[in-house]
Amino acid sequence: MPIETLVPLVFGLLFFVLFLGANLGLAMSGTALFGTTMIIGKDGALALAGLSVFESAQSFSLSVIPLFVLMGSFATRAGISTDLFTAFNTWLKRRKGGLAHASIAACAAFGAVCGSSIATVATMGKVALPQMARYGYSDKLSTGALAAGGTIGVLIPPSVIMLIYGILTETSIGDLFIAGIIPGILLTLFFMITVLVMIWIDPTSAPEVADVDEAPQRAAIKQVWATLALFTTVIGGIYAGFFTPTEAAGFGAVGALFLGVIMGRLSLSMIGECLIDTVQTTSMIFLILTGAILFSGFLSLSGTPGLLGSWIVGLELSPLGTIIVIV
Amino acid sequence: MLRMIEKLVRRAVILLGWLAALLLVAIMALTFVDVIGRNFFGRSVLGTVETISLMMGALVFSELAITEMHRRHIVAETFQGIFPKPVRRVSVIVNSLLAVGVSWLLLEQLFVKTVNVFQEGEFTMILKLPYWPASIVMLVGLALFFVMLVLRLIRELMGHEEPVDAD
Repeated sequence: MPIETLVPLVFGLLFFVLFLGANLGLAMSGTALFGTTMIIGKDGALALAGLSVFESAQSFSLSVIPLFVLMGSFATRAGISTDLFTAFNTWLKRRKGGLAHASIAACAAFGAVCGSSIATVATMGKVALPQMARYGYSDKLSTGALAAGGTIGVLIPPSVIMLIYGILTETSIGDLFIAGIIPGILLTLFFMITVLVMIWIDPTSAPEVADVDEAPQRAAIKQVWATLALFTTVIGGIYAGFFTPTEAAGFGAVGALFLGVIMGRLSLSMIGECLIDTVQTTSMIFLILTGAILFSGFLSLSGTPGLLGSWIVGLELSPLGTIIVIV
Repeated sequence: MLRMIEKLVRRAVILLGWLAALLLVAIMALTFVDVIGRNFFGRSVLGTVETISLMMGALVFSELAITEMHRRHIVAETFQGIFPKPVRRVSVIVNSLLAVGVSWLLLEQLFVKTVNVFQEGEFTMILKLPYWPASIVMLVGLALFFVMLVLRLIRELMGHEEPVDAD
């Protein structure tokens, strides 16, 4: 079968099985196996797949994923999200819409120890949504602030998406992390400005100033420093060349465990739950990685990157036009 | 009969899940000790990279089945809701068949690789650790994942939506 027909066929098959609700990792693996078989034959395709899967699993660089996920899991169970929210609320409560601002800032800070947008929204949602509902924030503003704030976790290091991207493309994970800090902070500020605009458009969406007890705030501010110190050590350590990302992840996981235990917030059963949760997340990511590795192998064998490159060059576009076509 | 098999498989899956959790603790501890040793005492732990590599292989494969048991693998469910019930049932069975087929092909390859590793007695470079124990854990993990998928397919063909003894 000609490559020009095979590649669209494999993509079509992939989208079809995904449309049917297939497992993402296995769907990519299956369609990649089919495509590779059509190019180099069944035996070659299977041998190549076996080797790729085996070697990608027994990889030191892969260990960065469970270690960062474990750090986030310990931090989540230790209730760091509540501390962050209360601390930011203390600093921002004088402003109108302070709770919405605090939610966004806490999402950004929590993303700095958690690394997952979904986990950030799920965790912060439990903490911030009831508070915003209690003080009369509109549902539109409160859920919007949280949904937007959750996306910051992808940019602010350690980001699980950056880890996966770094492993798949063999890009320096340390560089990716550092590159995410400024855009992450900018996005946080823009979301906060958006909250102000929303309140300006509809002043009833947020009350004037929320009243909060002073005592828990002081305690939260005290405890939030430990989280900030952990984040600074982990990411600062990578930036200063003190750690590789994997070492930083191991250090961060032990640090988060230590913090949780000395704060008296992590019991033995909670530690067990964190471990099981982390290995399941790792396994879920690994299955997708396996599919992505096999699929990129098929694309390389079919020469698709070269064909696409020639096609884009043939269009004779401006640099901006080229970027738009790639996107 | 199916209920009994499922119960046994689930126990094995949970056991393997805890093995993976222990491996994670070992990886975390080894990484921490290595980084502290190198930066504060000028000494690394010998063979850290190869030991963690072996443990990672065992960890990810031994956890595939429990992740499947808890339905935590990523599936594209967006369009499932728009299908009428009979179409949804067919699509679920087609998906399960695809999952069983692909995992069988991978299992076959991993079996061949494990036999090779065992017969050729491959060792790591520095610590001379044998590869076969990690390979066997990987094989058992993938085999249990395959069994879980087969059991799910059987349930779906019989019209059971959820596991017989779902917890």
